[in-house]
Amino acid sequence: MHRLTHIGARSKSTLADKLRNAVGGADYGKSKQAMVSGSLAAKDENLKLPYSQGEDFRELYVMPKRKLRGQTQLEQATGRAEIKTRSRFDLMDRLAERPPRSEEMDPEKQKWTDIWPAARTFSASVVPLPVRMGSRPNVEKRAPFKKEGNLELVKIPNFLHLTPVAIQQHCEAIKKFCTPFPPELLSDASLTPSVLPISVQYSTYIHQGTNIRDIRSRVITMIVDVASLKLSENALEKLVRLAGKRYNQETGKLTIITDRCHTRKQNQDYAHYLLTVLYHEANKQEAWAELKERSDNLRVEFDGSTTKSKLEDLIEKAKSAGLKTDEKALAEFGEMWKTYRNTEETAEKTREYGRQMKKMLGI
Amino acid sequence: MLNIANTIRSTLLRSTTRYVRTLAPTVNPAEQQQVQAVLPDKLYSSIEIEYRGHDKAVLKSYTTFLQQVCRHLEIPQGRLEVLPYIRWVQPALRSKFVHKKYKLHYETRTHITKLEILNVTGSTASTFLEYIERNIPEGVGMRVGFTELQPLPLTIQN
Repeated sequence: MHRLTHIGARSKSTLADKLRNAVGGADYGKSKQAMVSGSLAAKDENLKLPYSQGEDFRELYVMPKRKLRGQTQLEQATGRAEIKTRSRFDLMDRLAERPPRSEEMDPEKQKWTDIWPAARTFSASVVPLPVRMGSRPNVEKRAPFKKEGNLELVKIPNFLHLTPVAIQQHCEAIKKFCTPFPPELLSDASLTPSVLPISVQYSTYIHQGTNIRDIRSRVITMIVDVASLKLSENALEKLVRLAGKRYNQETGKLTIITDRCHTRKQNQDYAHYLLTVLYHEANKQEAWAELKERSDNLRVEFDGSTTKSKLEDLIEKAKSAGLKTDEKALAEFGEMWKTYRNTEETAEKTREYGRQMKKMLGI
Repeated sequence: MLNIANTIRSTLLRSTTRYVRTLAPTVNPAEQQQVQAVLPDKLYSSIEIEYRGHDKAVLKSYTTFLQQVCRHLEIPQGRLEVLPYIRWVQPALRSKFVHKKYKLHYETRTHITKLEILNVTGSTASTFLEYIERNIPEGVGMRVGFTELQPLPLTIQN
């Protein structure tokens, strides 16, 4: 049954018709055709079917809009086939990919400060420099690794946001907040110690950590020029006694270091308080201060010393003996002797002592 | 007001033989004597910037940056000092067990650089330092030492 219908279907196709026509015209195999495909209906004249009155059955045949397999095979075999060039399967993806930004940059139209305005980690596609980084056993043979995919370049801090142009721009922007230092203080060197005799030293610290504060920033060092306090001789001596190690004899400066309070401001106030107290206490004259004797002095004085009295006797004796003595030299000798006794002894000072003595006695 | 409080306190003390603990008299800061003279702006004779890090090259770059900023802002620059690095060594034993002679040598090097700035006002200093501090590179710590010039306190009158 299957085979019969199959033959029947094939005999109905237009290709079959074409072949039939090619062989023997339109009547070729018509009787057979009638017998196979609904012959009873064809013979019945009462039926009002479009093909019952002797018309040909208009068969529907849908032909695809392509070359059929047989035809293409023939063409390929004969060598007349059209060879279609196929594009890459990832062509659209490749077109969508852009080249790195560093290749598209134009120095005339773009500014580096706009591309890299703030600090950021190194990006190989953005930086147009041919940078290489990596340790190689032989650098001449193999160059260090290129920037693409180089982690070492990413790890180090870069200064690409601080090019000289960028620094200039930033400085131009912040210059308006700067004020000039008083030129009077710069030109006259003696003005600063008289007008601003105190110098206060303190530090601030910046570092990574869980705490933004640093305990060391509370320390204050206040250095006062004692000459500016304009103390009398007694007051100065009293201040020196009270200050102790904090007073420097050579420079004449009083140093107060405070860190006993928690904040810098408190320490500064405390330092001011200490200075005020020292000043006022130094100016006070106590009754018992008059009981001071020569041995209580901080420095050895020439006037009143046994050396002076002995020297005076010696000069008189030398004069009577006939040596040319110089009495005015005694005052000079006194000055030298005071510095000799109150400062550190050196070889030069000792020689000067000898010279002065000889001069005074006229030797 | 202070005097009244004091007299009250002294009378209280005199009346009772036992020691009575009283609070210190309240102080109004507005009424307190002004100690420090108020100047229009602070004056610094020198500001010392000391920065430390593990990478010598980073410190060198930061130094050039500081010098350029000083040039642009017209700030007189003092001396630049590159100090020798501070080394911290901590060896570890190479082997899991025994062999004390053979160790791994681990050390940390902290490089130090100091830059000094002379004769600046408070506004210039704060501008300069804010810009500097915002641009500190990673892994660098800084200490800023100020030397401020001040007049004598008002409590001392010559």
